[in-house]
Amino acid sequence: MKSIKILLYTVAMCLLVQTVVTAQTSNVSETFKTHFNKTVTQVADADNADNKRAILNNSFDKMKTAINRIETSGQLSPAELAGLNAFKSDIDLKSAELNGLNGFSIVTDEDLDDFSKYAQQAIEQADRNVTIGLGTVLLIIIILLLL
Amino acid sequence: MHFFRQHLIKKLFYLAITVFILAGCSSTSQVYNRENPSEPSASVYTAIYYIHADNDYLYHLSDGSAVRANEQALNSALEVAENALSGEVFIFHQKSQKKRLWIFPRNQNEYYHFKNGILQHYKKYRYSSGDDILFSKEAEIFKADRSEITQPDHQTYFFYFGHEIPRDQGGHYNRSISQMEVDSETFGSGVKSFLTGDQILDLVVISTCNNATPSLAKQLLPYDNYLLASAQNLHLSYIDTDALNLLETNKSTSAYDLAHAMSSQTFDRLSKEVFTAITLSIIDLKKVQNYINELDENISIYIDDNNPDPFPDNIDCQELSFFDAEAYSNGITAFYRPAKFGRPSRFKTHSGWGCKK
Repeated sequence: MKSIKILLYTVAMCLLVQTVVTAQTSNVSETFKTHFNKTVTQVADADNADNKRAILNNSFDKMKTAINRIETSGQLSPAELAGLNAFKSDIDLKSAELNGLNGFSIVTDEDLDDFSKYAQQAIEQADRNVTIGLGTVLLIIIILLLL
Repeated sequence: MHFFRQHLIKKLFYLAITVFILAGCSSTSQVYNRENPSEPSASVYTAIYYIHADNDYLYHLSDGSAVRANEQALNSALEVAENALSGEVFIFHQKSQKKRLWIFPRNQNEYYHFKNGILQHYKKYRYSSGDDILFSKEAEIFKADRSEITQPDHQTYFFYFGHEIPRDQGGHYNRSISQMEVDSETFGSGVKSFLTGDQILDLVVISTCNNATPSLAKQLLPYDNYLLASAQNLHLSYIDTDALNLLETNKSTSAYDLAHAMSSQTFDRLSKEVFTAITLSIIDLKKVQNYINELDENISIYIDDNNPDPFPDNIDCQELSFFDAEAYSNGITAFYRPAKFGRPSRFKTHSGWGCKK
């Protein structure tokens, strides 16, 4: 009777662990999409242009810092690295445009809400995707939360 | 009494384990099969939907709520299928492959088959070993259930919803089955696997980013007449296909007219919703066959010389020096609206072709 109980508990534990792992399986783009969605909401809610611009700059910086830390951790394959680099370059471009750098005209105060949605839509397009291990994704989430 | 109860529990436990294992053995589980289908009228058209869901398809609405784009595409396809009174519609929803206890594979993919607007089959299926060739399992199911084509003007369409199909090196496209190669070449041969003999598709719609490309057009050319795809970004991934209902009122609607109606509807909707660029191209594959090899060869040379990064968004091919706008525009109908932000293009119109820079 005792052995059956142990066996049943083992099976239950396996099912529980599998459920937790499945629920946490994610990829890097989903993590950034969720993060940037909060940014877009905060920009819409901000009461002046300076705050909107600061929220966007802070969000871009957080994503770039997260990518830099992941890249230097040395855990990535060349394909993963290429995908993340392309994503970072795109964030650099958006950041430059927001602040009128690298030949861009600065995004005007009245266009900041639209620009935040534009950046979100660009991030959420159905282009090539980067799938990265669960551990790396969790590290990105921690960085985005702590910074 | 105690011994008897212990014995009974043991038996029940073994029975549960056996059922569990057997459930994992079958690669399909028939959930619904119409027992006595009414005699359907001959279908005027066949539509095959393949909705890829084995990756990230999260996006957010303007109110911040999260949506799974593949679920949205599935719901749209089901609505089209229920209204396709003169057609036969097959829908494949390819999801992440999962296992029970890391051992027993589960049937995660979904298959729907409608005839004259009535659901004939619904089942769940998974890939077994040997099924890791793109569309091989779906083509097998399709060929087993499709009706015989009796109408002389019968048209067949293939709709693909997913992420960008890369030019080459298509491993790791799927989150759960990295060994399945998905690139231009495997896509072309995969589409062919749905066909019989010298049959040719009337229209292929690729609802992804960056796939109105010479390489994909070249691969599809032997098996298809028209291609509708996006040369650059395509927000929300999805082209509207409800224009299929045109065939309910006018059975002689051509594949080009259908593609044009889908493009117009999608373009109008996206113009109201998005700030990113909108590019939709209808490619007449019979017309482009005069120059497609030359254009693709020029792109190959450009790639060899410049080694462009395959990840960023496409640019308009006419931005590249080798592109001959006069020669390479025959057979292209392009719908284009530039992005509200970002670097402006040197050109006011779009060539309809997408290239990596």
